[in-house]
Amino acid sequence: MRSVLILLIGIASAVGLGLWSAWLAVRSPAPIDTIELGAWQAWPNAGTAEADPYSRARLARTGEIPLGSGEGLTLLALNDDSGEPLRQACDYRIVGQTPPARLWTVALEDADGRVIEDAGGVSALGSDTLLRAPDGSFEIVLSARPQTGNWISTKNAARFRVVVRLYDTTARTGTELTTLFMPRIARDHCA
Amino acid sequence: MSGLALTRGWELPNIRFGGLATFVAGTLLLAGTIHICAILLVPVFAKEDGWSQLAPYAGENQFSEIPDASASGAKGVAGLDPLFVTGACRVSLADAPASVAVDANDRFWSVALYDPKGVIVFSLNDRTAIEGRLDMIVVNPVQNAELKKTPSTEIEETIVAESPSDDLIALLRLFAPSPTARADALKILADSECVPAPSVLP
Repeated sequence: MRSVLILLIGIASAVGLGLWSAWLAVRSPAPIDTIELGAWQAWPNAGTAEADPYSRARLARTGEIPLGSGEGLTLLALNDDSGEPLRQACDYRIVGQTPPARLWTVALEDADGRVIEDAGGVSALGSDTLLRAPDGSFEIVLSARPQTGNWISTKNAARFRVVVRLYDTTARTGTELTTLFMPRIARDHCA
Repeated sequence: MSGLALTRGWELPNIRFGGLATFVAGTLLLAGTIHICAILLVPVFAKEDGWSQLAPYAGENQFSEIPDASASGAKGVAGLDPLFVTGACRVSLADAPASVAVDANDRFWSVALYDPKGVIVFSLNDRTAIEGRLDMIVVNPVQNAELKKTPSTEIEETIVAESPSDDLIALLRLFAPSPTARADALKILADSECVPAPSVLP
Protein backbone atom coordinates (compact mmCIF):
# COMPACT_ATOMS: atom_id res chain seq x y z
CA MET A 1 0.00 0.00 0.00
CA ARG A 2 2.72 2.39 1.02
CA SER A 3 4.87 1.57 -1.98
CA VAL A 4 1.90 2.18 -4.30
CA LEU A 5 1.41 5.58 -2.71
CA ILE A 6 5.10 6.42 -3.10
CA LEU A 7 4.99 5.30 -6.70
CA LEU A 8 1.97 7.51 -7.36
CA ILE A 9 3.66 10.50 -5.71
CA GLY A 10 6.72 9.85 -7.84
CA ILE A 11 4.72 9.63 -11.07
CA ALA A 12 2.68 12.72 -10.25
CA SER A 13 5.72 14.83 -9.47
CA ALA A 14 7.49 13.51 -12.58
CA VAL A 15 4.52 14.50 -14.79
CA GLY A 16 4.35 17.90 -13.12
CA LEU A 17 8.06 18.50 -13.37
CA GLY A 18 8.28 17.30 -16.97
CA LEU A 19 5.39 19.41 -18.25
CA TRP A 20 6.38 22.47 -16.22
CA SER A 21 9.95 22.41 -17.50
CA ALA A 22 8.66 21.88 -21.06
CA TRP A 23 6.38 24.88 -20.69
CA LEU A 24 9.22 27.00 -19.36
CA ALA A 25 11.31 26.07 -22.38
CA VAL A 26 8.72 26.94 -25.05
CA ARG A 27 7.00 29.97 -23.55
CA SER A 28 7.21 33.14 -25.54
CA PRO A 29 9.78 34.61 -25.83
CA ALA A 30 11.73 31.40 -25.45
CA PRO A 31 14.88 31.32 -23.36
CA ILE A 32 16.47 28.63 -25.51
CA ASP A 33 18.51 29.03 -28.70
CA THR A 34 18.54 32.78 -28.13
CA ILE A 35 21.13 35.41 -28.90
CA GLU A 36 21.11 38.35 -26.52
CA LEU A 37 22.51 41.78 -27.36
CA GLY A 38 21.81 44.18 -24.52
CA ALA A 39 18.06 44.52 -24.28
CA TRP A 40 17.58 42.71 -27.59
CA GLN A 41 16.95 39.04 -28.29
CA ALA A 42 17.09 37.16 -31.58
CA TRP A 43 16.44 33.61 -32.72
CA PRO A 44 18.48 33.25 -35.91
CA ASN A 45 17.85 29.50 -36.10
CA ALA A 46 14.08 29.84 -35.91
CA GLY A 47 12.37 28.44 -38.98
CA THR A 48 15.53 26.95 -40.44
CA ALA A 49 16.18 23.26 -40.94
CA GLU A 50 18.86 23.54 -38.22
CA ALA A 51 16.29 24.61 -35.65
CA ASP A 52 16.39 22.42 -32.56
CA PRO A 53 13.24 20.73 -31.19
CA TYR A 54 12.78 23.55 -28.67
CA SER A 55 12.68 26.25 -31.35
CA ARG A 56 10.28 24.15 -33.36
CA ALA A 57 8.01 23.68 -30.38
CA ARG A 58 8.13 27.39 -29.58
CA LEU A 59 7.32 28.45 -33.14
CA ALA A 60 4.48 25.93 -33.33
CA ARG A 61 3.07 27.31 -30.11
CA THR A 62 3.42 31.01 -30.83
CA GLY A 63 2.55 30.81 -34.53
CA GLU A 64 5.31 33.30 -35.27
CA ILE A 65 6.47 33.36 -38.88
CA PRO A 66 10.18 34.11 -38.84
CA LEU A 67 12.10 35.79 -41.63
CA GLY A 68 14.06 33.44 -43.88
CA SER A 69 17.84 33.57 -44.00
CA GLY A 70 17.64 35.32 -47.37
CA GLU A 71 15.20 37.88 -46.04
CA GLY A 72 16.49 39.20 -42.76
CA LEU A 73 16.60 38.93 -39.00
CA THR A 74 14.13 39.92 -36.29
CA LEU A 75 15.27 41.33 -32.95
CA LEU A 76 12.93 41.77 -30.03
CA ALA A 77 13.16 43.92 -26.89
CA LEU A 78 10.75 43.47 -23.99
CA ASN A 79 12.68 45.55 -21.49
CA ASP A 80 14.74 48.70 -21.42
CA ASP A 81 18.47 48.62 -20.75
CA SER A 82 17.94 48.48 -17.01
CA GLY A 83 15.76 45.38 -17.38
CA GLU A 84 12.43 47.09 -16.64
CA PRO A 85 9.47 46.11 -18.86
CA LEU A 86 8.56 48.70 -21.50
CA ARG A 87 5.39 50.62 -20.64
CA GLN A 88 3.43 53.65 -21.76
CA ALA A 89 3.99 55.58 -18.54
CA CYS A 90 7.63 56.10 -19.47
CA ASP A 91 9.35 57.75 -22.40
CA TYR A 92 12.23 55.89 -23.99
CA ARG A 93 15.06 56.78 -26.31
CA ILE A 94 16.45 54.18 -28.71
CA VAL A 95 19.97 55.46 -29.36
CA GLY A 96 22.85 54.19 -31.40
CA GLN A 97 23.29 52.21 -34.58
CA THR A 98 21.95 49.03 -36.07
CA PRO A 99 23.94 46.23 -37.70
CA PRO A 100 24.48 46.62 -41.46
CA ALA A 101 21.27 46.10 -43.37
CA ARG A 102 19.89 47.48 -46.62
CA LEU A 103 16.64 48.30 -44.88
CA TRP A 104 15.35 48.01 -41.37
CA THR A 105 12.15 48.81 -39.56
CA VAL A 106 11.32 49.37 -35.93
CA ALA A 107 7.77 48.66 -34.75
CA LEU A 108 5.80 48.35 -31.54
CA GLU A 109 3.71 45.27 -30.88
CA ASP A 110 1.77 43.81 -27.97
CA ALA A 111 2.69 40.66 -26.06
CA ASP A 112 1.00 38.51 -28.73
CA GLY A 113 2.91 40.09 -31.60
CA ARG A 114 -0.05 42.15 -32.80
CA VAL A 115 0.46 45.51 -34.44
CA ILE A 116 -0.16 48.64 -32.35
CA GLU A 117 -1.89 51.44 -34.24
CA ASP A 118 -2.25 55.12 -33.56
CA ALA A 119 -4.25 57.85 -35.25
CA GLY A 120 -1.53 58.48 -37.84
CA GLY A 121 -1.18 54.83 -38.85
CA VAL A 122 0.89 52.11 -37.29
CA SER A 123 3.43 52.63 -34.54
CA ALA A 124 6.43 51.88 -36.71
CA LEU A 125 9.30 53.60 -38.50
CA GLY A 126 11.43 52.59 -41.46
CA SER A 127 15.14 53.28 -41.88
CA ASP A 128 14.33 55.06 -45.16
CA THR A 129 12.63 57.99 -43.41
CA LEU A 130 14.84 58.09 -40.34
CA LEU A 131 16.62 61.32 -39.37
CA ARG A 132 20.26 60.64 -38.57
CA ALA A 133 23.21 62.42 -37.05
CA PRO A 134 26.16 63.08 -39.41
CA ASP A 135 27.95 59.99 -38.04
CA GLY A 136 25.01 57.79 -39.04
CA SER A 137 23.72 57.24 -35.53
CA PHE A 138 20.12 57.98 -34.67
CA GLU A 139 17.77 58.58 -31.79
CA ILE A 140 14.14 57.42 -31.76
CA VAL A 141 11.83 58.63 -29.02
CA LEU A 142 9.03 56.35 -27.80
CA SER A 143 6.43 58.51 -26.14
CA ALA A 144 2.68 58.93 -25.85
CA ARG A 145 3.10 62.65 -26.61
CA PRO A 146 4.28 64.03 -29.97
CA GLN A 147 8.03 64.67 -30.15
CA THR A 148 10.28 66.37 -32.63
CA GLY A 149 12.67 64.18 -34.60
CA ASN A 150 12.18 60.43 -34.86
CA TRP A 151 9.10 59.57 -32.83
CA ILE A 152 6.99 56.46 -32.38
CA SER A 153 3.73 56.92 -30.53
CA THR A 154 2.96 54.68 -27.56
CA LYS A 155 -0.46 56.28 -27.16
CA ASN A 156 -2.41 53.07 -27.67
CA ALA A 157 -0.11 50.70 -25.84
CA ALA A 158 -0.16 50.38 -22.08
CA ARG A 159 2.55 47.76 -22.43
CA PHE A 160 4.49 46.99 -25.55
CA ARG A 161 7.60 45.44 -26.97
CA VAL A 162 9.90 46.77 -29.68
CA VAL A 163 10.71 44.75 -32.79
CA VAL A 164 13.57 45.63 -35.10
CA ARG A 165 13.61 43.80 -38.41
CA LEU A 166 16.84 43.92 -40.40
CA TYR A 167 16.35 43.18 -44.09
CA ASP A 168 19.05 41.93 -46.42
CA THR A 169 21.57 41.87 -43.63
CA THR A 170 24.87 40.16 -43.02
CA ALA A 171 23.92 39.97 -39.35
CA ARG A 172 22.65 36.40 -39.66
CA THR A 173 25.98 34.74 -40.16
CA GLY A 174 27.26 33.13 -37.00
CA THR A 175 30.47 35.11 -36.58
CA GLU A 176 28.71 38.44 -37.12
CA LEU A 177 26.08 37.70 -34.51
CA THR A 178 28.50 37.72 -31.62
CA THR A 179 29.91 41.13 -32.52
CA LEU A 180 26.68 42.93 -33.41
CA PHE A 181 25.94 46.39 -32.10
CA MET A 182 22.36 47.19 -31.29
CA PRO A 183 21.04 50.54 -30.08
CA ARG A 184 20.50 51.15 -26.39
CA ILE A 185 17.00 51.55 -25.00
CA ALA A 186 17.30 54.29 -22.38
CA ARG A 187 14.41 55.12 -20.07
CA ASP A 188 13.66 58.83 -19.73
CA HIS A 189 11.25 60.23 -17.22
CA CYS A 190 8.16 58.30 -16.18
CA ALA A 191 4.75 59.78 -15.55
CA MET B 1 0.27 7.88 21.95
CA SER B 2 -0.62 10.77 19.78
CA GLY B 3 3.06 11.67 19.53
CA LEU B 4 3.78 8.20 18.31
CA ALA B 5 1.00 8.43 15.74
CA LEU B 6 2.45 11.68 14.45
CA THR B 7 5.87 10.11 14.16
CA ARG B 8 4.30 7.25 12.29
CA GLY B 9 2.56 9.67 10.01
CA TRP B 10 5.85 11.36 9.26
CA GLU B 11 7.35 7.99 8.53
CA LEU B 12 5.09 7.45 5.55
CA PRO B 13 7.73 7.52 2.82
CA ASN B 14 9.58 4.94 4.85
CA ILE B 15 12.35 4.27 2.40
CA ARG B 16 15.97 3.72 3.18
CA PHE B 17 18.53 6.20 1.89
CA GLY B 18 19.28 3.95 -1.08
CA GLY B 19 15.55 3.78 -1.68
CA LEU B 20 15.25 7.57 -1.59
CA ALA B 21 17.99 7.95 -4.15
CA THR B 22 16.21 5.46 -6.39
CA PHE B 23 12.97 7.34 -5.88
CA VAL B 24 14.51 10.69 -6.82
CA ALA B 25 16.44 9.25 -9.77
CA GLY B 26 13.34 7.44 -11.04
CA THR B 27 11.23 10.57 -10.73
CA LEU B 28 13.77 12.72 -12.55
CA LEU B 29 14.21 10.13 -15.29
CA LEU B 30 10.47 9.95 -15.82
CA ALA B 31 10.20 13.77 -15.68
CA GLY B 32 12.94 14.02 -18.32
CA THR B 33 11.15 11.57 -20.58
CA ILE B 34 7.88 13.45 -20.22
CA HIS B 35 9.69 16.74 -20.87
CA ILE B 36 11.21 15.42 -24.12
CA CYS B 37 7.92 13.88 -25.26
CA ALA B 38 6.07 17.13 -24.56
CA ILE B 39 8.60 19.19 -26.53
CA LEU B 40 8.44 16.81 -29.49
CA LEU B 41 4.65 16.60 -29.42
CA VAL B 42 3.98 20.35 -29.26
CA PRO B 43 4.43 20.85 -33.05
CA VAL B 44 2.16 17.86 -33.73
CA PHE B 45 -0.72 19.14 -31.64
CA ALA B 46 -0.26 22.91 -31.90
CA LYS B 47 -3.34 24.41 -33.53
CA GLU B 48 -2.08 27.93 -33.93
CA ASP B 49 1.24 27.31 -35.63
CA GLY B 50 2.39 29.56 -38.45
CA TRP B 51 1.05 27.29 -41.17
CA SER B 52 -2.49 27.16 -39.78
CA GLN B 53 -2.45 30.93 -39.36
CA LEU B 54 -1.36 31.58 -42.95
CA ALA B 55 -3.40 28.87 -44.66
CA PRO B 56 -6.82 30.60 -44.41
CA TYR B 57 -5.43 33.70 -46.13
CA ALA B 58 -3.22 32.05 -48.75
CA GLY B 59 -4.54 32.42 -52.28
CA GLU B 60 -4.95 29.59 -54.79
CA ASN B 61 -2.81 30.21 -57.88
CA GLN B 62 -2.30 33.82 -56.84
CA PHE B 63 -0.94 35.89 -53.99
CA SER B 64 -3.52 37.20 -51.54
CA GLU B 65 -2.85 39.89 -48.99
CA ILE B 66 -2.45 38.75 -45.39
CA PRO B 67 -3.89 41.27 -42.95
CA ASP B 68 -1.86 42.20 -39.85
CA ALA B 69 -3.44 41.26 -36.54
CA SER B 70 -3.72 44.48 -34.54
CA ALA B 71 -3.95 45.14 -30.83
CA SER B 72 -7.17 47.07 -31.46
CA GLY B 73 -8.83 43.83 -32.51
CA ALA B 74 -8.41 43.52 -36.28
CA LYS B 75 -8.11 39.88 -37.27
CA GLY B 76 -5.07 38.67 -39.13
CA VAL B 77 -1.68 37.13 -38.65
CA ALA B 78 0.49 38.33 -35.77
CA GLY B 79 4.20 39.03 -36.07
CA LEU B 80 4.21 40.49 -39.58
CA ASP B 81 5.98 43.76 -40.29
CA PRO B 82 3.35 46.53 -40.31
CA LEU B 83 5.40 48.55 -42.82
CA PHE B 84 5.16 45.70 -45.31
CA VAL B 85 2.41 44.32 -47.50
CA THR B 86 2.57 40.55 -47.15
CA GLY B 87 1.04 38.17 -49.64
CA ALA B 88 0.64 34.41 -49.44
CA CYS B 89 -0.02 31.77 -52.08
CA ARG B 90 -0.64 28.06 -51.58
CA VAL B 91 1.73 25.93 -53.67
CA SER B 92 1.25 22.22 -54.34
CA LEU B 93 3.98 20.29 -56.09
CA ALA B 94 2.12 16.96 -56.08
CA ASP B 95 1.10 17.21 -59.75
CA ALA B 96 3.51 19.69 -61.26
CA PRO B 97 6.23 22.20 -60.42
CA ALA B 98 5.09 25.71 -59.59
CA SER B 99 6.16 28.97 -61.11
CA VAL B 100 6.54 32.10 -58.98
CA ALA B 101 7.21 35.41 -60.70
CA VAL B 102 7.51 38.86 -59.18
CA ASP B 103 8.24 42.12 -60.96
CA ALA B 104 9.07 45.10 -58.74
CA ASN B 105 12.19 47.22 -58.86
CA ASP B 106 11.17 50.27 -56.87
CA ARG B 107 11.32 48.83 -53.37
CA PHE B 108 12.70 46.13 -51.11
CA TRP B 109 10.88 42.82 -51.37
CA SER B 110 11.51 39.22 -50.43
CA VAL B 111 10.09 35.78 -51.10
CA ALA B 112 10.06 32.81 -48.71
CA LEU B 113 8.79 29.27 -49.13
CA TYR B 114 7.22 28.05 -45.93
CA ASP B 115 6.46 24.37 -45.27
CA PRO B 116 3.82 22.82 -42.99
CA LYS B 117 6.45 22.00 -40.36
CA GLY B 118 7.27 25.70 -40.02
CA VAL B 119 10.57 25.47 -41.87
CA ILE B 120 11.48 28.12 -44.42
CA VAL B 121 12.87 25.89 -47.15
CA PHE B 122 13.97 28.74 -49.41
CA SER B 123 14.16 32.50 -49.25
CA LEU B 124 15.63 35.35 -51.25
CA ASN B 125 15.29 39.10 -51.63
CA ASP B 126 15.10 41.46 -54.57
CA ARG B 127 18.89 41.69 -54.84
CA THR B 128 18.86 38.17 -56.30
CA ALA B 129 16.30 39.25 -58.89
CA ILE B 130 17.50 40.47 -62.25
CA GLU B 131 16.44 44.11 -62.69
CA GLY B 132 13.71 43.62 -60.14
CA ARG B 133 12.27 40.63 -61.93
CA LEU B 134 12.19 37.19 -60.36
CA ASP B 135 11.34 34.01 -62.24
CA MET B 136 11.36 31.05 -59.96
CA ILE B 137 10.46 27.41 -60.46
CA VAL B 138 9.62 25.44 -57.34
CA VAL B 139 10.20 21.70 -57.61
CA ASN B 140 10.30 18.66 -55.37
CA PRO B 141 13.41 16.41 -55.49
CA VAL B 142 11.91 14.07 -58.13
CA GLN B 143 10.97 16.95 -60.42
CA ASN B 144 14.37 18.54 -59.89
CA ALA B 145 16.09 15.33 -61.04
CA GLU B 146 13.93 15.32 -64.18
CA LEU B 147 14.68 18.97 -64.76
CA LYS B 148 18.43 18.38 -64.56
CA LYS B 149 18.24 15.51 -67.07
CA THR B 150 17.04 17.84 -69.80
CA PRO B 151 18.82 21.16 -69.47
CA SER B 152 17.00 23.78 -71.42
CA THR B 153 18.18 27.25 -72.30
CA GLU B 154 14.87 28.73 -71.26
CA ILE B 155 15.35 28.29 -67.57
CA GLU B 156 18.81 29.80 -67.45
CA GLU B 157 17.56 33.03 -65.95
CA THR B 158 15.18 31.13 -63.75
CA ILE B 159 15.91 30.35 -60.14
CA VAL B 160 15.14 26.75 -59.25
CA ALA B 161 14.11 26.14 -55.66
CA GLU B 162 13.90 22.59 -54.42
CA SER B 163 11.54 21.75 -51.60
CA PRO B 164 11.41 18.43 -49.75
CA SER B 165 7.73 19.06 -49.05
CA ASP B 166 5.03 19.01 -51.75
CA ASP B 167 2.87 21.39 -49.79
CA LEU B 168 4.11 24.97 -49.41
CA ILE B 169 3.00 28.52 -48.82
CA ALA B 170 4.90 31.14 -50.79
CA LEU B 171 5.21 34.42 -48.89
CA LEU B 172 5.86 37.67 -50.70
CA ARG B 173 6.82 40.67 -48.55
CA LEU B 174 6.84 44.12 -50.15
CA PHE B 175 8.12 47.20 -48.34
CA ALA B 176 5.25 49.66 -48.24
CA PRO B 177 5.69 52.36 -45.60
CA SER B 178 3.05 54.81 -46.89
CA PRO B 179 -0.56 54.57 -48.12
CA THR B 180 0.52 55.18 -51.73
CA ALA B 181 3.30 52.60 -51.43
CA ARG B 182 0.71 50.19 -50.01
CA ALA B 183 -1.60 50.72 -52.96
CA ASP B 184 1.31 50.10 -55.35
CA ALA B 185 2.36 47.02 -53.39
CA LEU B 186 -1.14 45.57 -53.60
CA LYS B 187 -1.01 46.03 -57.36
CA ILE B 188 2.37 44.26 -57.53
CA LEU B 189 0.90 41.51 -55.38
CA ALA B 190 -2.02 41.07 -57.76
CA ASP B 191 0.30 41.07 -60.80
CA SER B 192 2.68 38.53 -59.30
CA GLU B 193 2.43 35.00 -60.56
CA CYS B 194 2.08 31.84 -58.51
CA VAL B 195 0.75 29.01 -60.69
CA PRO B 196 1.36 25.33 -61.49
CA ALA B 197 3.86 24.98 -64.33
CA PRO B 198 3.61 21.49 -65.82
CA SER B 199 5.29 22.67 -69.03
CA VAL B 200 8.76 23.09 -67.50
CA LEU B 201 9.13 19.31 -67.36
CA PRO B 202 9.55 17.37 -70.61
